Amino acid sequence: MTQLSLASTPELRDGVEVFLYPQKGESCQILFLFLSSRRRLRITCKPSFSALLKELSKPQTLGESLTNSGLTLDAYTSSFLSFLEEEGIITMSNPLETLLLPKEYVEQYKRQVYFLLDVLKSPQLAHAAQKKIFDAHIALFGLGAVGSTLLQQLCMMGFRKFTLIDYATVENNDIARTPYHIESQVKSLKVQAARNLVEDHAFDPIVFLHNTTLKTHTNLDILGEKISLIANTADEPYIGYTNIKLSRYALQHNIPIVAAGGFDAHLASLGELLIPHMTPCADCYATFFHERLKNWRPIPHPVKDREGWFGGLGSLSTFSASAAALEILFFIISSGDQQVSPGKRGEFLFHDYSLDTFVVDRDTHCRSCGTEKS
Amino acid sequence: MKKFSEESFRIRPSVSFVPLQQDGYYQFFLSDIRQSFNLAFSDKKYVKILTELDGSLSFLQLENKFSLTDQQSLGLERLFEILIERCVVEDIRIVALRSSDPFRRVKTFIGSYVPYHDVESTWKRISNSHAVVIGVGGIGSWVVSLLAQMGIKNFTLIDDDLVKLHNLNRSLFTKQDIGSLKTLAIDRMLSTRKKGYYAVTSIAEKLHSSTRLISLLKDNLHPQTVLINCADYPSVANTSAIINDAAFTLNLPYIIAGGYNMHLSLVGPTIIPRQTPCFHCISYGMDQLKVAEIEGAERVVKEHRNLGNLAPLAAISASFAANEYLKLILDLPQLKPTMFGKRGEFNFLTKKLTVEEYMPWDKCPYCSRGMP
Repeated sequence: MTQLSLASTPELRDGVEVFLYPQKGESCQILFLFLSSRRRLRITCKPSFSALLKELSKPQTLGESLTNSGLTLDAYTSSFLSFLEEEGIITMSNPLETLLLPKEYVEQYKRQVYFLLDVLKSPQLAHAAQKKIFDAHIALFGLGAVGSTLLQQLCMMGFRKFTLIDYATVENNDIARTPYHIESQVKSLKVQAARNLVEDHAFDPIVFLHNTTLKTHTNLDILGEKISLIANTADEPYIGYTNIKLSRYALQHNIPIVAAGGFDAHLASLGELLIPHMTPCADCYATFFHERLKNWRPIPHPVKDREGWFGGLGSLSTFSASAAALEILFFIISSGDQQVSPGKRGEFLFHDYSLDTFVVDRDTHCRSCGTEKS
Repeated sequence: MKKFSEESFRIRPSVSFVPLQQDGYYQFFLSDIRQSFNLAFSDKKYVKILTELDGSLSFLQLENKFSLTDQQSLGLERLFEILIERCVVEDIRIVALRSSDPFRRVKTFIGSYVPYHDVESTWKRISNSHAVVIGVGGIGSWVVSLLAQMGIKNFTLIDDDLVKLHNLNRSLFTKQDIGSLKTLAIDRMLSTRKKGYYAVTSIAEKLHSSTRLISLLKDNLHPQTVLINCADYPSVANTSAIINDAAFTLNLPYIIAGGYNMHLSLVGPTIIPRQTPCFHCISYGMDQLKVAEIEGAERVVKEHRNLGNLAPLAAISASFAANEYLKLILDLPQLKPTMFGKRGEFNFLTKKLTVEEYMPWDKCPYCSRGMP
C-alpha cells in the first residue's frame, strides 16, 4: 500500500467502469467492471464511499476528494482506499512514471503499460513486467508466415533482443502471408528481411542472425547464452521434428519454448508453451498424439511432392502468431512464478470459430523429461 | 456420352484418404479446414484408383489401366463428381497453372470450399472486391494488411488522423510514418508489398454523417463492396450508426470490427441490410441484457480515458474481420459469415471466444420497414 497523503492525487483507473447503486438503508452497492478482463466485482459500503468514488474520477488532490465527500483520512477510509488500490481500481501515482525504463520507450509503449496495469493492477508491477520485456532475449526459429508476424508483434510489444534463424529467401508468394517488402526484398535472405522488420518496429533493437537450417546435426550452441525463450515456427522438414529437436536442447539448458501453430492442418492452432520439467515437452506431445491417432491411418498420399500445395490465409497465420505472442508475453511477465501444469493444444476453426482443445499431461515415462523409467 | 476423358485428376495434396474400421467405409479429411466426411464404396477397385490418384493419368487412361467395365466407369464418374463437389479431387491440368502464382496459398485454401473448376472465377471476385475501411488505426491497419494478403486489390480508407509515436505499439506503422496521415502510411505499406497491384483511395476526413459516406461511395459503386467499421471516435456506437444508415441506403454489407478502447477483444457482428439483425437490433438486444444488471445505477463518468491495448489483440480482432469479409464475398451456402446476428468476446487468458446471439428487433427503424 502506498503511503497516503492529503496532497497526493489518487485517480480512478481508466480501465474500470464504476456503477453506483441507490442507497438502501445505511449502505449502498457498487459494481466495478474491469474492461480488459471483463472481471466484475460487487461490494456493499457506506454511502460516503460511493460519493468518494465519484470524486476520485476528477483531477484533484485526495484532500479535496475527501472533503467533497464528507470524509476524513481515518483508519476506515484508509483501508477503503487501500482496498481500491490493491484491486487495481485506483492508482496512487502517475502510472507512466518509472525509472526502470527509458522515457521515450514508455511514451512509445504507454498504451501497453495501461494494458499491463489492467492485468497486474499496480503501476509498479506493470513497470517491472515491461522491464522484463525490455530485457528479454528471444530466439526465433522460422521467419515465414507465422514467424515474421510473430516477430513483428513481439517488436510492437516492446521486445528488442532477438536471435533469428532461417535458411530461406523471400519469395513472391510471401505476399500472401508475411509483412515483408516483397517489392524490394524478393530473393533476399529471410533473416535480412526480418532484421529490417525489427528495425521498422522495435525500440533500439539488438539482433543476431543465423542463415541456417535446422537439421539433426545443427549445433544449437549457436544460440549462445542468456536466451529467455525459444519460439519455434520452423516447419521444415516438419514442425513435429523441429519441436522435438529444440525441446530436447531446451530441457538440457532449462529454456522455455513456445511451439507456435499455423501450419498445414493447424492453420489457426494456438500453439504450445513448453516449460522444462513443468509442462509436457515436445516428446510428451508427440507420444500423446501418436497414441490418440493410432487408429487413424491415412493411406500414403498418392501425390509425392505436396510441398506448397497446402492452402492458407494471412488471417489464420496471423491468428496463430498472435496466440503465440500472447503466450510469450504472459510467460515473460510472469517468469519465476510458473507452476507445474498440464499442456494443451487448441485448434481454432475457420468454419465456425469453434475451438477444439486437447489437454496433454506429462508422460512420466517420457524419454526426454520423464521421471520414471519405462 | 462420357462425362470425363482427358481430365487428369488427383487427390488434393491437403486431403487425407483414411480407411475406417468398418469395412468399406472411408473418411476424407480436408486438413486445411479440418473438416471431414465419410463415404462407403462397395467396389475395391475405386479404393485402388484413389490410392494411386496422383494426376499422372487421364480419366481414359485410368479406365484402361484398371480395366473398368462400362458400369464401373459410370460409377467412377459419379464418384469423381461427388469428390470434385466436396473438394477432394482436382484436375492437375487446371491447378498446375497456378504453380507460380503469388496467391496460390489463398486459392488452394478457397479450393477446400469451392470445386477446383470454380476457384479462379471465385478468386477473381475476391481480388476485385472493394473494402471500405473506416478508421485505419489499431484495428484498421491490420484489417487492410490481412485483406491485402488475401489478394484484395481495392481499398477506400477513411481517416483524418496522423500517426503518433504511441500508435506504434499496435498499429502497423513505423517511426518513419510519424506525422503522416494514417491513410497514406497504409498506402505506402501496400506499395512496398507489390507496386501497382493495390488501388488505394485515401480520404483524409473524419466521418461525421452517413450523407457524406453515401456521397463518397455512390458514384462508381463496386458491386462487391463491404464496409468495415474500425473507427471509435467519438464512439463505436456513433460510427456504427452512421455506417448502418449508409449501408441500408446503398444496400451494402458491413462488418463492425472489434478491438476498441472499451471492447479490447470484441468480435463484432457482420450485417447484411434487410437480411440479418442490424446494428440497431443488436444495440437494442444488448440494452435489454445490460438494463437488468445496472438498472437504476449511476455510472461514474470520466473524461479523456486512456485504456490499454496490445498488438496481438488488435491483430486477433482484425483476423476475425478479415475472415468475415472473405465469407461475405465467397457467399457460399455452407460457409455463411459466422457473426451474423452475433457479438463475441475473445478471452485473451483462456483464448476462447464466447458469443451472444441477437434476434431482429421488431421495432427497428431500419429492419422493420416492410416487416409484416
